[in-house]
Amino acid sequence: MSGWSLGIDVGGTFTDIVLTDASGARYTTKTPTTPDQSDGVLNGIDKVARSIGSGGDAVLAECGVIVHGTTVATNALLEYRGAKVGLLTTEGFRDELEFRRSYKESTFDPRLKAPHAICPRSMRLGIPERLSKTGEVLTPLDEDAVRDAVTFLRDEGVEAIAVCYLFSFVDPGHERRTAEIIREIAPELYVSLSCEVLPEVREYERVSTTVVNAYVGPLIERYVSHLDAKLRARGFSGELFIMQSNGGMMTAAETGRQAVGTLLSGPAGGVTAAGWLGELAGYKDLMIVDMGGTSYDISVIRDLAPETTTESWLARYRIALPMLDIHTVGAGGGSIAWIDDGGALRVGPESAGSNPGPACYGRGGTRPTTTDANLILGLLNPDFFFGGEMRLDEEAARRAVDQHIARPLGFTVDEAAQAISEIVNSNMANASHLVTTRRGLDPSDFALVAAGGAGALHAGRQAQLLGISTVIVPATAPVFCALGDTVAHLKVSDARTFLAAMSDLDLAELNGRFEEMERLARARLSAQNVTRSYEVRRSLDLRYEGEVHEVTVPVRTRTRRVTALNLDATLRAFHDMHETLFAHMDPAHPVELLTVRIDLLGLRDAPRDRGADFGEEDPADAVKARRPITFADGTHETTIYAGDALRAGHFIQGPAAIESWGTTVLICPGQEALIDAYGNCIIESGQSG
Amino acid sequence: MSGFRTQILAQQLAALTREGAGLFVAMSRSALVVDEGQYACAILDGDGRLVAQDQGEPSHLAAVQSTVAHVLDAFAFNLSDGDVVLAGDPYCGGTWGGVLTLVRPFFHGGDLRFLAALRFAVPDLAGDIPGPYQPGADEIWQEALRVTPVKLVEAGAAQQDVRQYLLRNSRTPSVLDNDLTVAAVVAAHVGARLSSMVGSRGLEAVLGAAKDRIAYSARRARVHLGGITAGAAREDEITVRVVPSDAGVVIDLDGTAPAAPDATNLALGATRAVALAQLAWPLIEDDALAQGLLDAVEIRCPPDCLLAPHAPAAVSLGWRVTAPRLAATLARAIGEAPVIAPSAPLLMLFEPIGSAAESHPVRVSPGFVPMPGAAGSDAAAGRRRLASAELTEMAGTMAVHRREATNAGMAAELVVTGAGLEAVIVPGAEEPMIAQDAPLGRPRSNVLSLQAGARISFDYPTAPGDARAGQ
Repeated sequence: MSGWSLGIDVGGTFTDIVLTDASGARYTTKTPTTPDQSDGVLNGIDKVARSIGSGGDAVLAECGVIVHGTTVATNALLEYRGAKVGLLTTEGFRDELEFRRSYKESTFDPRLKAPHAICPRSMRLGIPERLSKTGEVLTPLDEDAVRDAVTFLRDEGVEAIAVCYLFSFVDPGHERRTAEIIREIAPELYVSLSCEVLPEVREYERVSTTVVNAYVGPLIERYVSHLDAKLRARGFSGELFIMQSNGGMMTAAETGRQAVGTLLSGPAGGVTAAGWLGELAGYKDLMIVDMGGTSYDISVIRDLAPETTTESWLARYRIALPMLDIHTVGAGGGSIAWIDDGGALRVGPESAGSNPGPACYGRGGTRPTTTDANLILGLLNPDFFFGGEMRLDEEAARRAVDQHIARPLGFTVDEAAQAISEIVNSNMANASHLVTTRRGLDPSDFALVAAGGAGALHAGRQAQLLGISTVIVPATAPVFCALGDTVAHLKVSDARTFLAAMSDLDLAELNGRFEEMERLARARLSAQNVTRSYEVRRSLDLRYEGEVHEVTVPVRTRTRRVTALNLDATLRAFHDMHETLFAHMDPAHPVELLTVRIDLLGLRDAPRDRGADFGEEDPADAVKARRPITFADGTHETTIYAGDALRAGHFIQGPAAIESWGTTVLICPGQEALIDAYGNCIIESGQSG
Repeated sequence: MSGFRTQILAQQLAALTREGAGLFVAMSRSALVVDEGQYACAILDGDGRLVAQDQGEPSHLAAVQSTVAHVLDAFAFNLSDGDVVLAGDPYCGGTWGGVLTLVRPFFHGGDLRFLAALRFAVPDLAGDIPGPYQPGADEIWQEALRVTPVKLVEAGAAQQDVRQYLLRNSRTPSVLDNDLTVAAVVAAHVGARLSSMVGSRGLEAVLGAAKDRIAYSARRARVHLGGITAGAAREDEITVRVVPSDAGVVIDLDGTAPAAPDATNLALGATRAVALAQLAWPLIEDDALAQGLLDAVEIRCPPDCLLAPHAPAAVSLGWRVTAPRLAATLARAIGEAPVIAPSAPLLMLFEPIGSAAESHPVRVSPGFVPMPGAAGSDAAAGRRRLASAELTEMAGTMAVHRREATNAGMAAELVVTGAGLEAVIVPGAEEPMIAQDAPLGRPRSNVLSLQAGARISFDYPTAPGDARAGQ
C-alpha cells in the first residue's frame, strides 16, 4: 500500500477527483457524472492518473484509501426510486409517517399534494406492543402478529422492513426481537430498526428517518459493493470509505447499515474542507458558500467546529440525524430570470439545470439565467469556460435577456444583466443573513470561503453586502467537496434520549450511558485500518425547564468520565450559549437534559502541506488580458490574470479577475487579493454596500 | 433602471420580516408560538402602512396593521425614539384576547419613519378560564385583559409598573415575561438593520423601497383578484356578496346576523384575515404581505354584526366557530373550495383553577383536520406542528394511545395520566368525547374535573372539498 489517497465527489453534473500523494502534492480533475456513478468514478481516476503521466490501474494499485461522496441515496430519494419498504409500528400509530406532524412546505396552501408515499399505507402494519415512557412493558410484543406481518410483507415483495415502536429508545427489546423474527422468516430482507438508526424521542422524526434508511439502504449496499468490486478488479487493495452528511467518513460496510447517513453528504465534503483550510490559513470562524448550477449552499463553522442540525428534510421526508447544517437557496448559475405578475424581476428558484442549461450553453435553452447575465457583464470569458473545454455563446445570452427581461422592463440588455446579477447577489446575502442571525451571529464576524464553480464570481460582492472583510477562494474551489473527502476523519455520531433535571442528575448513570455509546461507536469503527487514534466529543442537549427548544452544549472533560466540575462548566456554557442564541439567560431557572450525544472521531493524519515560499508581489507575468467588466458600481477596464500562472505572494488590486480551469475569481474595485502559500486567493474587502 | 435597486431594497425589507419572525420563534418560550405558529413580524412605514409582514398562521394577516393604526391614534403626538408600545385588544385592531402586538417606532431626522411590530399569542391573560378560549363568556371582560395601547418602554426607560401589571394578570407570567423581552429584542434587531440600511443606502432610497413594496403588492393584488368574478352566498347567519372593484374586491356582508350573545363573534381583524386567506393565499405564500393587498380587499359590514361586533361582545370562539363558516360562504360565493376547514376538536387542560400561582394551560388536540387529497391541514393551521406522542407522555399528564387515519379522516385517543386536572371542551364543529369510570365532575358550568385514566377520543373528519382539492 502506498501513499496515494483519493477523494471522489459525485455531483449532479460532474464527478470531482482529488488525488493526493504522501508528500501532500495534490492533483485534481473533473469528469462528467454517469448514470452508473461507478463508471464516472473510474473515468475520473483514469483521467487524473493520465494527468500525472500514469494510468488508473497503477494509481489504484498504489492507493491506500479512497473516500467517496456519493449521491446514489440522495438521487434515489429525490426521484422516489428506492426499495419497496414495509413498516411495522406500535398498533395505533402506523400513519405517523403520513401525518408528518401536519408539516406543509407551503404554509397556506390547502391543496398542496401529499408527498409521494415511499411506504404506502397498505405496507404499514400495526403490531400489538407498548412500552411506557420508563420502558415498562404495558403490552407484550405479539410475536404471532409480527410473524403474520412479516410473512405478508415478504409475500408483497418488499425489499426492506423498517421497525419503529414507541419508546424503543428507552428499551429496544421489542424492536430487536422483531428483527430476529424478520431474519428467521425473510433473511434476505434489509432491516432498519429505529433503535439503531435514531434512538431519540419524537416518533415522527424517528419513523421518517428509519423508513428513509430502509428505502435507500438496499441501493447503497448494492452500489458500494458494486463499486468496491470494480475498484478491486482494477487492482485496488486499500480501504473504501463513504462520506457522510455529518462531515465524517465511514467504512463501506457500516454505510450500508446506516445508509440514511449518506444523504446530502456531497456538500458536507465542502464544509469539512473549509474547516481544514481555515485551520491551515488561520481562520476559525468561516461562512462557506458553494454556488453550483441550481443552488447556493450556505454553512457556518465557528471556532473550527461546523454547525450541525437535526432539522433536515429531503424529498419532503424528515431526516433527523445530526447533519452539517447547510442552508440551500435556489440561486445558482442556471437559475432562471423572470418577471412576475407585479412587474418585478425575479431570479430562481426554477433552474435551467445543466441541460439545456443557460442560453449561452447553446444546448437549446432560451430563458435567461444568472450565467447568461454574468457572461454579458464580462464576468465570464466565453473562450475560457472550463479552461476552454466549452465555448459560451454570448449572442444567445443577449437574445434571451433581451427578449425576456430587457424589452419588457424597458432596460438595455446590459442593464438587465446587471439587474439579474444584483438580484441574485441580494438573494444570496438575504439568505446568509438569515443563516447567521438565527444563531445569534453577525455575518461580518466571519471569513467567507467561496467554493463551487460559480462561488468565486459572486463572493467579492457578497463580502461587500454582508460587511465581511476577508474572502478565501481555495485553490481547489472547483473540486472543493472532493478535497473534503481527502481530509475528513472517520466519524460516528450517536445520540440517546436521557431525560433528567440537571440539579438531580445521576453522574454515574450519565457516565454509564456515555461509556455504552462510546463502546458501540468504537465497534462501528473497528473494521478499518486507517487509524487507531480516536477522539470522543460529548455533548448534552439542554433547555430551561418549560422551554420548547434545546441547545446542544459540548461537555469538556480531560478524562473519560464527566465529573461534577465538568457538569458545572457545561451548565455555565449553556447559559452563555442560550444568551447568544436567544438573547437572554436565566441561571436561576431549572435546566433539564433531553439528549446525550457523542461524536467519535477516528483521526487521520492531516495531509502534509508545507506551502510555498512567497515570491514577487507583482503578478505582471500572470496578466493574460484586459477587458471591461461590469461590477455593482459600474463598468471598469479590468485586468485578467491566468490562475495557473499566479504564485504565492502575488498581490492583486481590484478590479481584477483570475481565470482558472473551472472557476473565475472576481476581485471588485476597492478590494485587494493575495495568493497565499497554499495557492488560495485571499481577498480583503474594506467596503460594504 | 434605478427600479431594480429599489426592488432589491424592497426585497431586503421583506427578508428582514422573515428574519425577525424566525428569531422570535427561536427565542419564544410559548408553545402557542413555537408549535402553533401564533406570531407575526412586520415593518410598517411612518404612516402605519404595512411594508412587509411574515406570519405563522393567517389570523394575524390584518391585525398587525390595524393594531398599529390604533397605536398611532393613541400616541399621535407622543411617540419618540426609544418607546415600545404594547396593544392587545380585539377592539383596538386585534382578533381575540391574549394576543399582543409590540410596536417599536424608528425616527430619522426627528420624524417617525418606520415601525417594527411583533404580534404573538400568550398562553394566558387573565381570562375566566385558563387559556385563550372562554366558552362561557358573554362579554369581552370575561375573556382576557384588554390591553389598549400602553407604553412598555418610554424613551428608553422601562415602565416596570406596566410590565408588572401585565405579569400579575397572567397565569403564565414566566412565559409572558420571556416573550415580552424577546419581542422587544427582535423589534430592536429589526430596527438596527433598518438603521443600517438607511445608513448605507440613504433614507430616501429606503423610504422609496417601502413605497415600492406597497405599490407592487397593490399591482399583484389587482392582477390576482381581477380573476375573481362577482358572486354571492348565504348560510344561516352569514351573507356574503363579492364585488370586483378597481383596487381588487369588495366583500359586502350586509344581511349578516347581529352580534351573538356568546363568544362566537368574529372580530373585524379576524374577519379581514379570513377574507385575505380565502381570496389571496397564493400571493401571501409567494411574497411577504404588504399594504397594497390589505387595501385591495375591502370589507363592508353592518354595524355590530356577527363578523364585526361592537364592544363588549365576546369573541374568543369566533376563529374556531365562525371563521370556517365565513370561509365556506366566501368560497361558495366565488366558486372555490374553502381554505379554512371546520375546526378540530379541542380541549384545554389545566391544574384546578385557583390551585397555583403559575399554571400552564395545555392546548390538547392530538390530530388535525385533513384536507382532501392534500398534505397536512387547512390554511388556518398555518405552521402548526402536531405534538409528539412520546413527548406528550413524557410531560407526565397524558398519554396518546392511538393516532391513525380512518375512512373519514383521522382519529386519536388520549388517556389522562395525571391526577386532579381540570379541562374545558372548546366548542367547535367537532368536540372530543370523554369517558371515565366516575361521573365527570363539574366544578364550574363549563369546567370538567378529570380522573386519572379518563379516556378522551378525538375524531377529525376530512374537510369537505371540491373536485379540485388535492389536484
